[in-house]
Amino acid sequence: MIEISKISKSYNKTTKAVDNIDLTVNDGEIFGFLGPNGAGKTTTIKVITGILNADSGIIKVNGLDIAKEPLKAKKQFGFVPDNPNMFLRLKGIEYLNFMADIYDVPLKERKDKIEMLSKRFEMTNSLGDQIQSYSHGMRQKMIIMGVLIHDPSVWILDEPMTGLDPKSAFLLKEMMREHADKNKTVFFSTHVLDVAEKICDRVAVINKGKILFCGKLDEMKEHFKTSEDESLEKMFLEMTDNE
Amino acid sequence: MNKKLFILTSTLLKNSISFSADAKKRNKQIILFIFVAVCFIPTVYAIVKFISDTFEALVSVGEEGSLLSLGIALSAFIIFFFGIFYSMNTFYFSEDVENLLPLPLKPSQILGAKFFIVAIYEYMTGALILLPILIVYGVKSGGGILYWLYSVLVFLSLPIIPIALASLLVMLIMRFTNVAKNKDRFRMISAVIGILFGVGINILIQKMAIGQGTQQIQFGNNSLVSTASYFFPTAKFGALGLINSANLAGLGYIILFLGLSFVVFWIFSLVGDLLYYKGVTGVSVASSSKKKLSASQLEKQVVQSPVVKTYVLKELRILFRTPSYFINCIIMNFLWPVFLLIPFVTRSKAMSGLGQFSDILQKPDVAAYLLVIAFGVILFVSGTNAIAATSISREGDNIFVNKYIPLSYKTQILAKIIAGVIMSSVGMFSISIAAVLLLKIPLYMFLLIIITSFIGILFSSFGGIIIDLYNPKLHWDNEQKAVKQNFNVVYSMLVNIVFGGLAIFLTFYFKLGLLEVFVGLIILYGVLDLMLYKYLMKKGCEIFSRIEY
Repeated sequence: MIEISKISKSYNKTTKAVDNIDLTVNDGEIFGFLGPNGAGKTTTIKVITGILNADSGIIKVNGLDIAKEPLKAKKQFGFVPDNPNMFLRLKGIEYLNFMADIYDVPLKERKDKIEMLSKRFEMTNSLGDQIQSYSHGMRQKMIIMGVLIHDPSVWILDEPMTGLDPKSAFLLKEMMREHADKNKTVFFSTHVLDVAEKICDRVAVINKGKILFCGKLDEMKEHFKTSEDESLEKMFLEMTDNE
Repeated sequence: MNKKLFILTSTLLKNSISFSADAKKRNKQIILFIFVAVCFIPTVYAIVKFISDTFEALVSVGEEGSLLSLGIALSAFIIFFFGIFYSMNTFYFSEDVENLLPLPLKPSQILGAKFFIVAIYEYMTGALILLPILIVYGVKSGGGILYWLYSVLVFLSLPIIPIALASLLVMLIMRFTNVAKNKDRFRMISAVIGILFGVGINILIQKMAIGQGTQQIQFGNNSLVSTASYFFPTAKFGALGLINSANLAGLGYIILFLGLSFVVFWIFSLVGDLLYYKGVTGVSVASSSKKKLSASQLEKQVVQSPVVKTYVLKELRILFRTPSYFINCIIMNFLWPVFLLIPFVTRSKAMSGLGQFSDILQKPDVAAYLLVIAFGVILFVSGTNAIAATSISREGDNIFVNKYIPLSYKTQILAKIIAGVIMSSVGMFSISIAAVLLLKIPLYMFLLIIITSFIGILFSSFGGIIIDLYNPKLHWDNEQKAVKQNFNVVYSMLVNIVFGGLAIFLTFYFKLGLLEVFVGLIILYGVLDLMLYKYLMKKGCEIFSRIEY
């Protein structure tokens, strides 16, 4: 569960990238965070994960305040950043060991996990190579594996589908569903509306640092009183276009 | 073609020499820069004093012209040596190469633009050596307007030939190592070959200079000039042009100097068109074995270790596997003994000279000086490897990872320090073991050096990371910028030079004994270490938590 209350974050003390946001992501749901480029999605995620310090407001992950108990709160979630170009000089297996050590994953468990995940993501042949030699999608998969190895109860993913091939994207969506069905939390950002429409239980739309809507997709259609057949795309465009 | 070259050069320049866009940060950078410049004033004064004394001495034997040719030849050589590093980094390993290759440009255009970038770095090198010589000579000899005009021309065109030669060497090496499958490893091997070449040429020149030097004493003629210019023949023309600036011969020499530089640059372009693409294409493609790890391999490679060990290993792996880090941070620790030994090896009667020197070192009354100088040298070496002073900068835009992993800033800082201390200790051992083997310093002295220097290494590592925490250079597009074009390294080296120099100065000034020096170093630097450590663990962690990319 993620609770965000009254979060603001500005850059250079002038432009507010995130402006007094309230959000609650419940256990057992897949929550989609939508918005056009530069709307404040990534900034919000960075504030939630402790990468940026919020100017004001409180963030709790599974009830733990990220500002007051950062290490405990950080252990609650796994984070997949939007850019998978990290740890490029490490071999896949070294990276997985690194993450497992950081998150205290016992030896037996990590062995099983590595075997299972590399099979599912078809990465068994690449574990011994440096991440640098991977394609964009493979890097993305490796980062996701590094997150799943410590089995966090809250998943936070920033544009996770970018660069994944259809099979891996399908697999990830499937895993997100499984995770939510175990009464755990999945929070992800995207600007691909189809994805949001298909798998999200609830969504929030952010533009210019403000939440424009938060709720179920049906409610969104209701909320904007559009005709039944109007596409999500059109709603989204109308909403975010409005000054 | 020239227009494209110009556009490319100015774009690359803007990209590579950039101050922070944030005005407040920029001011901070400028103030720090001025501060460092002020700190160097005594050094500059000492250099100028040394040069003018040398000038006076040479006037008395009518050889003052050799000051110019020595200065020019020496600068050319140093530019050549650095040129190997610079050209390898800018021509092959900088990340913009990948973006330039698809553009409709000739290799010589890319090379030409990058050549200017290298030249600009080299002017900074030249400014330190050649500029004072040109100025002192001009003032002392009362040079006319033509002298100053020629000086500017010589200064500006001097780097062309050394850089072109260094680049040709690098292009040849890269052309033939690029066939390898593991690019990273071969880049490193190329770098080592390049460095060894540089060291080898250094030895060769010193040997020749010494050989000619004895002849010169015998014949008492002007041969010092030709000796110094042996390796870079144009250096002679430059010097002769300046010496004869008052008459027409001077103009001839200067034209010859410029003409030769132009010809060499032209050859460089021609060869570049032939070799560059073959060496550079695919240079950044990493190889993959695509081999499945067997069950037993997997079993072996999945290991659990304490967090600190994992983190230190991660740091070291990245340092060893990233070519720029390997060249700047790792090799240096092994190379110092080589640099220190060059003068001994090149002397013809090397071993006897070494013997005499080590006899002096055995005497008890120099023991204190030996200890404090060894301490100072190792402190300096620990600063030059730049591992601590770039430990935050090296994270670059991946700094966000340090923020979201559930690992305290305390642990991360400690792990980064340990990585630096390990590599500095390698430098310490390689120097002191070389001293035991070649200078035959007694074993107890070896132990004293190790103990005090280790405390010194802690000091330099703590200091380095504090400097980097305050002003990390996180915005870079190639790794070289994190370690080479990072002022934090200069600041940290400066701190080490000042503190090491202070220890040496105090020892000599108060004529301290061995025991006093030993105990003094331990207490002084022990206390400093403790203070810096406490500061790091409290304030350092706070600063780390506030760093935002």
